[in-house]
Amino acid sequence: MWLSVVGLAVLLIAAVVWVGVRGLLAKDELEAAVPLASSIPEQIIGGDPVTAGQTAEKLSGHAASAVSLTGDPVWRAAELLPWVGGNLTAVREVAAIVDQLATDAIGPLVSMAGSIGVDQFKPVDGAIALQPLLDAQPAMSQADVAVKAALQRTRDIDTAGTVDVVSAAVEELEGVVGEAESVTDAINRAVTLLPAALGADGPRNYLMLFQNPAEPRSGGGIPGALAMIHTENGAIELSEQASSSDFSHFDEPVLPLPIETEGLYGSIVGEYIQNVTLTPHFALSGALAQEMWRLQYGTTVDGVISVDPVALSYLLRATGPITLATGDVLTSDNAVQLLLSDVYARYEDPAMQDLFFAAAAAAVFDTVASGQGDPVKLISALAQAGQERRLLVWSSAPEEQAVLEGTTLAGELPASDAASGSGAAAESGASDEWFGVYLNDATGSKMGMHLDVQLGTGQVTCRQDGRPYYAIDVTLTNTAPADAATSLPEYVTGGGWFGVTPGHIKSLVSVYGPTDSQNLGLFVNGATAEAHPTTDEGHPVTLKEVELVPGESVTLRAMFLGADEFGGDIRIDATPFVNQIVTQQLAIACEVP
Amino acid sequence: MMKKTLATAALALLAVLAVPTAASAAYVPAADVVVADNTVVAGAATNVGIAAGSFTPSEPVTFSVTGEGSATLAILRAATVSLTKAAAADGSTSVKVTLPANASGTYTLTATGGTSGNVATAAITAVAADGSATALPRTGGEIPFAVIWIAAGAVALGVVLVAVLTLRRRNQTA
Repeated sequence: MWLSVVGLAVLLIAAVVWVGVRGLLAKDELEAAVPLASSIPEQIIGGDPVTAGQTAEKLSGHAASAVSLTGDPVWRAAELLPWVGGNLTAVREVAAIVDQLATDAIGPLVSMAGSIGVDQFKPVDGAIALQPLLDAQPAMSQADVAVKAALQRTRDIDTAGTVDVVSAAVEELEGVVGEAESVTDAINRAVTLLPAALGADGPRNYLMLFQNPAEPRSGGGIPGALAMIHTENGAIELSEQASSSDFSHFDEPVLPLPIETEGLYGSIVGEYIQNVTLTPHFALSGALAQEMWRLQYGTTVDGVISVDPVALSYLLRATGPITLATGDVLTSDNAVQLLLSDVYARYEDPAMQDLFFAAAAAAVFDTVASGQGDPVKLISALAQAGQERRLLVWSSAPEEQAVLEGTTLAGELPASDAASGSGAAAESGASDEWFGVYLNDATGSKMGMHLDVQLGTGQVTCRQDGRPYYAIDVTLTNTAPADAATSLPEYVTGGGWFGVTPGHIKSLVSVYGPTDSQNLGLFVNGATAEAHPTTDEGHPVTLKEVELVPGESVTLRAMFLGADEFGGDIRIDATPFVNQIVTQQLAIACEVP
Repeated sequence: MMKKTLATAALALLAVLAVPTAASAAYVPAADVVVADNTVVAGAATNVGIAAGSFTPSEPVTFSVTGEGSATLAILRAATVSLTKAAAADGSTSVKVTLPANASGTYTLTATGGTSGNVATAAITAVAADGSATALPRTGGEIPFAVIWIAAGAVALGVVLVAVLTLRRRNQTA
């Protein structure tokens, strides 16, 4: 009997040692595996299939070892113990997830490496090869599904009560997989959309809008110049160009407008091509532009793409300087100044200004389509433009629009989602709060270059129920010179045509709160200010008109009552301004209604 | 390229023949609604003013208010009110909105012009009353690794002890 007692004790101690040692070995395997996993995407995109393949094999090896070290019956039994058990389960889950990634995600990606590199997206003589993209679709889709599943599984790991080492490892895994997910997600969407968009299933036509931020609109600026792009079997060409002044004014909106859009921005959204971007909702802008082009020129386009001059300047980084027919040399440094300011000093006629704009855009387009330009810089230029909402896309095919939805390219209203917080915030279920700040010019002028915009965000919890007050500050400054009425061209100041004294800037600012928040109103210099409170697709909105004389500045503070405790970050989705904006953090006091 | 040549030619032509074109009238947006009070207490009223030019002179304007209660409330707080009055000679109008005594959430006002079909909207908020704290504070558990090993060891020893005692008892009773 004593022997069996001693035997039992020895077994138990052996079990503890077994789990302990194998746990340490598994930790080593996982520490080797995780950095390998994060290096593979670069190797694939860089078109280095050999290295990517070798890395993938090493990764699989480490992952498989970690799984076998943590998958035995003794380990599983030990998971039932209090305190220790949670840690052991977490480590086993991490090993299983890394192994799953190695097999289901990295495997297919590596098999595609070499055929789906950055060069694939570079046009050759005006055409992009479609077959490699079509071939890549199944593997990309499989990899994307696997990475998304791995990310969800990582987020489901219960780290309540686990030791720092283990919870830090889980957090690191979530970071790595999260980054991988954003890459596979983007490439998967691109590979899904591009072949059809480039005319693989039949010729397509797309309307390009060149937004002009010298006259701000929620989506960026008025679509001053337009062009039609024709795609067929991968070949891309610019087939027609037009200026906004070529378009007639429609007496009624060309499409029925949502009541809230009409209430906020007016029926003029659907009556003038210059106003389709008054609404921040790009899908609506796209549909309106499509219909206006059809009524004006007869062609129904398959989608609408919008860019602004700053996006063009990013493209110029990839193409290098381009010489225009006028003799001007367009570079990434001078493009914005030339297109948004110099053109108005040089040409008085709006039609000529639009033509210059269109010619510049066409020149950049031709250079890119002919295959000149560094493909890596091109893609990073497009990615930066996309992130800053300077590149917006709408497709009239619902299944293609569904692939765009959720990306910044779709130009949707700001959405707070539960999984957007990072690290501890995501764990506790808190999320980032998204607000929208959109600017519309009410001067009828091109004073956009003389309007300085600054943003600030802040929150404070004063209520007993823990619901926070959010403050969004928008500071507008008219930086035009005091003698702007005489020193600036009439076309820039508006010449008083729309009732605004030349040199003044009249703007409409709309601030959107999260759909579950309540509107607390507008404050200027600490006092309640009159404004127009309303809603747009469930978002509380505050709209305010301000008119500034040269040199004048005003700070509008829109406040909202949050629905739950604040735990993430405050994020702003805004009209893409000409200058980069750094959002300030504000300290908010508790003296609010 | 063909396009560039055409563009150049067009530019040249326009430089010669340019005639200043009159700007298209009324494309410029404007703010048309002003609400007197940012937030309104239940039972109180506020004025909503709609700017001149929003409606055609003297046309009948129908106002409707729909209340939406907070999503967490099961009791319906909606208040629907409808009234029609003529716009002023300059196309402006105004209306006083009184919130019900048990108001909560956002009340949406829609003004529709009978002949023009023009629409103006506004939202008046009855801010949610402050309740008591509902969330319990989170107490995270972070136990040092050594303690866990000791605990595991203690559990193991405890099991052994129980086994020993049971066996001894059995031995004694046997």
